[in-house]
Amino acid sequence: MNVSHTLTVTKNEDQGAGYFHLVAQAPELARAARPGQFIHVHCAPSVDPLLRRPFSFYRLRPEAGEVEIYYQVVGKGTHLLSRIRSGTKLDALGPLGQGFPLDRKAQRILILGRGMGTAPLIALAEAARTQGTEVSAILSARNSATLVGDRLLASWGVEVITVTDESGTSAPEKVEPLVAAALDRPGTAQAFVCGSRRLARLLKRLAAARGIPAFVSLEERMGCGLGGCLVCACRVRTPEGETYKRVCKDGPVFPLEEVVLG
Amino acid sequence: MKPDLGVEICGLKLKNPVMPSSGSFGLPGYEEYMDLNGLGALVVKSITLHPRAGNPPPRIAETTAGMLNAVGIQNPGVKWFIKNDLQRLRRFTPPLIVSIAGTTVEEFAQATELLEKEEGIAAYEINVSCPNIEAGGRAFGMSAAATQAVVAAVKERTRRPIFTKLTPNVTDIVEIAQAAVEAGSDGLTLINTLLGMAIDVKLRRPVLANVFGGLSGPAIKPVALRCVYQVAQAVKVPIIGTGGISSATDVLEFLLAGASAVQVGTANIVDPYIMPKIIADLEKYLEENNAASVREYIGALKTH
Repeated sequence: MNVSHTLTVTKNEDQGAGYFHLVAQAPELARAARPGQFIHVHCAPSVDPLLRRPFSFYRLRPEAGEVEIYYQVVGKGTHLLSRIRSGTKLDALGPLGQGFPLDRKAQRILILGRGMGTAPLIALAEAARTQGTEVSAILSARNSATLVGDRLLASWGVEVITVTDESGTSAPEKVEPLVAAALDRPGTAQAFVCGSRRLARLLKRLAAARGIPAFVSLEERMGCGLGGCLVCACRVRTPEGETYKRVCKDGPVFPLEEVVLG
Repeated sequence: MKPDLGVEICGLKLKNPVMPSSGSFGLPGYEEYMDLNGLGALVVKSITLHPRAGNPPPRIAETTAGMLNAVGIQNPGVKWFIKNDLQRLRRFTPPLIVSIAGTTVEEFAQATELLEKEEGIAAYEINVSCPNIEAGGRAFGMSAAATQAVVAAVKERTRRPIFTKLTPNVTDIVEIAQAAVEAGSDGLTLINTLLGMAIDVKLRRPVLANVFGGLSGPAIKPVALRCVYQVAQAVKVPIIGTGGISSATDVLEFLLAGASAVQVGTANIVDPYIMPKIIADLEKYLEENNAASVREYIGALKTH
């Protein structure tokens, strides 16, 4: 399969707080991609920055031939990306990696996201709502300006609980009862987390105690994105002992019980 | 008439001079994304006698026009390689070059013995130059005597051609190249990565968990060209040039400097489809410049 695509940017909008929302025409990619997978984008035709940047899908809209990403300007690559105008062509590889294993028969799922890490969970929630699955969402962020996707989720009928550092509601001990209550809701069949190691550790413990399958989408500095260069390693526990897996190819979504969260 | 892209190195017939550098291109794996049979040769990621987990992350740091890596020769070990990867890689037509690494001479020797029993391997590349396999960036290839010991141990145990991959992290690369050739290396690959580091000012920490890493990419091309040129002047064996190659003209620069074939590394990490593009561009360039064969460029640098 050729994973090389040329995206045509149709929107690249400043959302405040250094966040941007990019929409691009890429019909083939939109059809092939699944929530939790990512695209590996060459942010500028240059050798500085040299490497691509990985972005999980924020929304997949195959009917419109569009994919969407939500990103934060953190370095040279994302800075250049933020300056791209509508109509610009982008060189991207995708869809890459393993997506979220959403159970088709799940009555309800829980999504737990922090900051930018909420982005892939939005695509997941949309897929869940489309198949009739209920979604509980707990979103965490530094402040209300850096919450991602809360209004979109609410518009799909998702019950959203938001916690922020600013309001003093986001500490793990304060989030724990919220997560526990969400997991204990009848019908909750799966749980997904992204954007915070602390929240991932919390979910791992609470979900394991209840026997609910839980998954994490991991972030790591990437090279090739195709599993060839082995730079994006994450520590996992296997029957043979601890080893490294590739975030780009074996992940970015992993069962939480497998991942060693340092 | 189409120009001839074929080259021959140590009895290996390559349909073009372009192959991936060890560790930069998933073999096996990338057959999922493209046809591998258009490449000049296939070079696998370095295999060691025993499995290696590799270094903790972060293993990569982007630098100006380059990158540092500190993967640490993560690999499943030679026995697993033979049972699994080699079976998959045999199906492809380009000559297969197996890269061998190790932390002792004995490990190189034992890995060679196991591989030697297997069909479908055209040659070995002896990686004495990885900066991530020992603490502090040390490598066999930093010493002429240690290089010689490794090369001799492998040579004794094989009838296949061996290419010793050299490090630029030495005072005089020519001395090491000559030592490798004296010990029986049929060809040379140069250069491996330059030992480097990156620092995160905010965290006041090295970016790489391993502190040091190997620098590669366009930033190192001038160093690689200089090394290839110097060594080509001093030895008679074929050279595979590598270091920052990402275009057809880059390839020709290395051939002019004295390489007979080239490896593409970091450019594969940026664009997995770059090698087929380079090969197509190379053919086009030769055609436009009325060159009948790519071999016309090998060692043809004018210095007067």
